[in-house]
Amino acid sequence: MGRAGAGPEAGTVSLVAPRPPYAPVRGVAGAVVATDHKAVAARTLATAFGFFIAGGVIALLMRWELATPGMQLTSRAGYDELFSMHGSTMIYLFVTPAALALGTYLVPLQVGAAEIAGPRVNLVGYWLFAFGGLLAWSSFLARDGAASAAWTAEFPMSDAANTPGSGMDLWIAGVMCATTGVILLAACQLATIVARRAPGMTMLRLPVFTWTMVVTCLMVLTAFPSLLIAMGGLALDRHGVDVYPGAGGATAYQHLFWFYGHPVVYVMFFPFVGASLEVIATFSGRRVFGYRGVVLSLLAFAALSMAVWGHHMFTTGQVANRYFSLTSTMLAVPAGMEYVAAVGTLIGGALRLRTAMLFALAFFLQFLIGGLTGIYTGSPPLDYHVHDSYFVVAHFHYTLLAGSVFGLFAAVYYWWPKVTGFRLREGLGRLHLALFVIGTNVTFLPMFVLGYDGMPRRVANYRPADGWTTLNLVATGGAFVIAVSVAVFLLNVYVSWLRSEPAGPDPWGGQTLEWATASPPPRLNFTAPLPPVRSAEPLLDLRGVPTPEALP
Amino acid sequence: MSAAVAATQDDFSRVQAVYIPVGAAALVVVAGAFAFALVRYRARDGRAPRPTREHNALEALIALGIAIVVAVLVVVTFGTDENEARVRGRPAFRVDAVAFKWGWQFTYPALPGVVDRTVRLIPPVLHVPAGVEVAVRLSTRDTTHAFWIPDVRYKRDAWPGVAQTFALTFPPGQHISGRCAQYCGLHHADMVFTVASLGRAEFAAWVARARGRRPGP
Repeated sequence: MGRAGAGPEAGTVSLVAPRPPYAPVRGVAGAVVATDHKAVAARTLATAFGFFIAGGVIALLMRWELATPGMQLTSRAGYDELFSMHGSTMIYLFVTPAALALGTYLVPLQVGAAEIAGPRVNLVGYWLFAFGGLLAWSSFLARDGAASAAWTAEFPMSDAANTPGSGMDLWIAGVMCATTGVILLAACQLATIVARRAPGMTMLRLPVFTWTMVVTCLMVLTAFPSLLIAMGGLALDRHGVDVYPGAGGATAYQHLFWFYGHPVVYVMFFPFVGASLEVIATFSGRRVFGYRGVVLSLLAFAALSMAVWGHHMFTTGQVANRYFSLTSTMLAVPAGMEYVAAVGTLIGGALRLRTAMLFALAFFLQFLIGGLTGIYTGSPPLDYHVHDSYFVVAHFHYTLLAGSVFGLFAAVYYWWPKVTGFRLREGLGRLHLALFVIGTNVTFLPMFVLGYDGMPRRVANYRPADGWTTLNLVATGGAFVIAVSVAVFLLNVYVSWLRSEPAGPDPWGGQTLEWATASPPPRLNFTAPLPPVRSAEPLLDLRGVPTPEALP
Repeated sequence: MSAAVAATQDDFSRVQAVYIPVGAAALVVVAGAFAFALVRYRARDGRAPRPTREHNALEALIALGIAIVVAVLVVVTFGTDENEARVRGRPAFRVDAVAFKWGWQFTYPALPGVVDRTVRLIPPVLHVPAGVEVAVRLSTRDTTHAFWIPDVRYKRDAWPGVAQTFALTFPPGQHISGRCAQYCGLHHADMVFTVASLGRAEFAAWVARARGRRPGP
């Protein structure tokens, strides 16, 4: 099965629907019931971005509180609500749904389908996510305040005795609701990839981004139900059913939670690897290097990711630390192969450093710091010291914010003209990037030192004698630089929209099928016959770029 | 105390001495590769991109290289004891540490009646002899907490319903800081304590004072 083999399907194929679509519903009702995967994806992304802003405002409040010793902004109870809502908003309501939203938009286009599989299920997925998010945030209205047991809600800290109040119950319901929605979004994409591929689009001709969505959806479908079970049990336990009794109960909750809680890290990573690799390939002007190696390493990565959850539990004394240390460290091999693909694509290319390209490059370099410190914390003797300290706060922000969110912005700048029909400004884009790079590093590099020096996470206060004031002040300054960079992005959107210039179907010299249709694509995605699919980059075939197999 | 006893801080340093250079080297290699490509392969003067070729052997070789580095790291990590702070033999001194919302209670089996305890959020002092193996038996009265002493590079969760015992060797020092590292609610940040790690003579003097102070039978 060669990705370049010219099979019997060679030639042009028409996927144009034989009948016109049903009349669109307009107005508010239209916004509620529109099943077009592009509209659902745009709404998911916009909603997730709204939660990013909300979670970011919370982060600024937290950094303001921590800038100097003493309590200056919140109460202790208030701070506990803030960090709990910050973490849960960013993970459950921003990065995870945003990662899936990219796939909801792009997967049908990239595989040459007119519509996503299960469009109504897909739409329900969005509404469950949006409603769940609002439900979780409504906990701020509860009499005892919002959820305050951290994003992990570890038992028994999250039980009715330690975290009383309906805020926690609302939060649990919201998280379960939003997570169910995300599972539905993933199911529709995977079904589309399995069953709606255009003629000629074999599995080994799927674009790299779509491959990352294959493994992402597999992880969502296998790991996320475990969160529903953990949280469902927690809800029951808080209302009188003994689900997690005694020492075994606390351990059982953590196993269930982290069986979801580690794969979700890669759900928040793979789609951005895929997006960044496609951006790098397009702006290098050549095919991704080592396509099959990327696919193989993604599959290995996803499989291994199901067997590493215990590294979150090294200090509990309740798991086989050596086993989880071994599996966690082994992740370096598939992760390394993604970097080989990026570098191999760059070398030999003709690099155009547009904003999307710069974000993709920054994604790989910034994430590297998160990845390498992940290998470090994967060693129990080292983790015993840095676990639950600001060191791990720095580590996972390098993977999620300094990493994934850079990949998300690479995707946003790259596919923006496809989605809206106009481009974002380059100058403001570069300013956004520069401020974001400065902001994330100034915020999170000092946290490695603070954690190493003994500052625990999830504290509202520290003492002047601890000697952490200067670095905390620096980190707070960095957080406000990040805020400014996000404001520059919003300004860029506004300015580019105000005086928009049509981008055309393919402004960057794209390689995959979504660039072979209008911007924005019509209701059923393609009006002209699809180009023949003889490789993972059908538009490069049209331009006569040889596949690796065709080269001597 | 046998000479073979490995202190947690020594294990930490030994492992970190391998991990830090390996991580730094990886950072330099990858950043260097990106920098090289950015300088050498910029689109200018009508340069055309070269068509991508397969280099399966090179990829396999790199994967093998990374796997070898992983193997080295795992061997170094496994070189420490599986339960690195396991109590071996007879510890020189024993401490019973009980965590609660929000404070610590330290008692000493060899010194019945002597209690160092958080009172109204005022941090207690844990007294131990310096430079010898101290066995800490950790438990909790309510939710999970964690016993963390940054100077000995070690923490362990206080787990509901089970007591966990581990051995630490403290460097000398009157003001070694310790704290709770596992989020436990309102006064988590205030759940700190001080370790007074005392030399032979100082420790004997503290024992005498503590015995004299304890309430009579």
